Amino acid sequence: MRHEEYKELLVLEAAGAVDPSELRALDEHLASCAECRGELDELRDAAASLVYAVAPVAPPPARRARVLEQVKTLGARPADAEAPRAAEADAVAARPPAKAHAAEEARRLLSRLGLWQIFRARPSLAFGAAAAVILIAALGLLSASLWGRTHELRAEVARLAERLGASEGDLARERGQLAQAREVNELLTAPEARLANLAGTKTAPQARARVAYDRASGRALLLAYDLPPAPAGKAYQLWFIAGGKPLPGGLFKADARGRARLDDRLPANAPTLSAFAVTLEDERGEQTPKGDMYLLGAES
Amino acid sequence: MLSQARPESDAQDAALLRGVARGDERAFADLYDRYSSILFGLLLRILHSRAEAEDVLQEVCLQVWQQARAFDPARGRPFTWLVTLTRSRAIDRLRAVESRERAARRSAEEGPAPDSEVETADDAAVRSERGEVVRRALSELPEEQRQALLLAYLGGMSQSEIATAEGLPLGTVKTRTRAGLKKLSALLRNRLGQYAV
Repeated sequence: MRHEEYKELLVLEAAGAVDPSELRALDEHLASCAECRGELDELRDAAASLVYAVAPVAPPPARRARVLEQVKTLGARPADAEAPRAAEADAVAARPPAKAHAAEEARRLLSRLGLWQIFRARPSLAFGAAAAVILIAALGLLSASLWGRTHELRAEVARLAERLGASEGDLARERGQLAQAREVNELLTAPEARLANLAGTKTAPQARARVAYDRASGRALLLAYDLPPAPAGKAYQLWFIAGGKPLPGGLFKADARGRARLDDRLPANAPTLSAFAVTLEDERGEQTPKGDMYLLGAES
Repeated sequence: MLSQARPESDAQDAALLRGVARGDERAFADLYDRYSSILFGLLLRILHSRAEAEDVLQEVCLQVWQQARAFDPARGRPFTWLVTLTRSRAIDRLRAVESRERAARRSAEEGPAPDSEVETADDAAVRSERGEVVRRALSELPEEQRQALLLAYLGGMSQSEIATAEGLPLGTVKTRTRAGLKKLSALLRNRLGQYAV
């Protein structure tokens, strides 16, 4: 693509009108072109001004209270303190909840996770068995992540919990999200799911990862540990090696403990998928691997 | 850069964001009080649903709280960051809602969402300053460029969808969108020097 074409693309990007298929090419170009980055920033300023064409509307005061409460709940807490609780949640979530005790169980669990204050503040929340079953299934999110990315998960559960104070229509939406979380859980445990174990290369000999994937649904889940932290501006990228060629997968970063998780999709039309690799790339991602390889492994 | 338009306001916003990045709840509350009406109005315009708009506002607030650290003042104004990420979350939600409900989309030229509230006196003051400049600049765009730009940015429609809706070639829609934003950018660059955010 000529430079002129990138310049046109970036105007569309600022206007929120760029085609997703062209976004990656644009991002790649932006990574190395300061002129275009500057121009994009200016155009984004102009586009953001369009918000003044819309009437401001004050959100209800109750929303402000909820937002500030959520932020207070999520305030910095040491990650290590959360890990044992996550393991407890795993144990409980693995048992199918008996309806009679579900409400009490969910209450205890949430209290341990420090989320009970979210519910206490909501007297309208009918903490019936149905809601509790949904909550326990929501906490099944924790079991799908074998290590505590608890900060984000607590945010996720808090968000889901928020919605239990909302209408039935919203609950239906939440069930969709929970169904997704269950899918991931199933992917990890299904007998027909395939697993690839990835070992660390010389760049990171201590790193390990596992990719669970299922061709039928196209889902792939990567769980990695003991990865060194990605430097600023960089991220790890998953590659699907098919027919000898690496096909680009999603981007992820490791947490403070070197653990990472990526929900991704297998490339459509991939011929025999033979292996997986993880490299360190610019955080916008690449179309072909450029950085050092950290993990590599074949289907087991 | 448009950030020259009102350096004190941008500096205040940047200071608030730095506070948020440090986990300062008071800074976050101040930022919320400053921008929630503007962002909520935008969400209502894109989503046409109060329930969805409130949901996404909560998501946006969470994202701001968690990602304030990632904001780079060298790359743009805090205001732009907030508006851009709000619009992105709204479009994501719109796509999710559409794929389930296949709701009909309304024109971006429509007025405020039917269930919108009367704006506060503070809101009116904001609108009367920078808002007037922006709206006047918009009115100076050729009609078809303004239409294309508003449909793309506020209407949540892809270029292909706009082309189909308007019965135009895709290339024409893209040309109008680009021309509209470039012209708006040029007009605002010239005019915002003396106006407040």
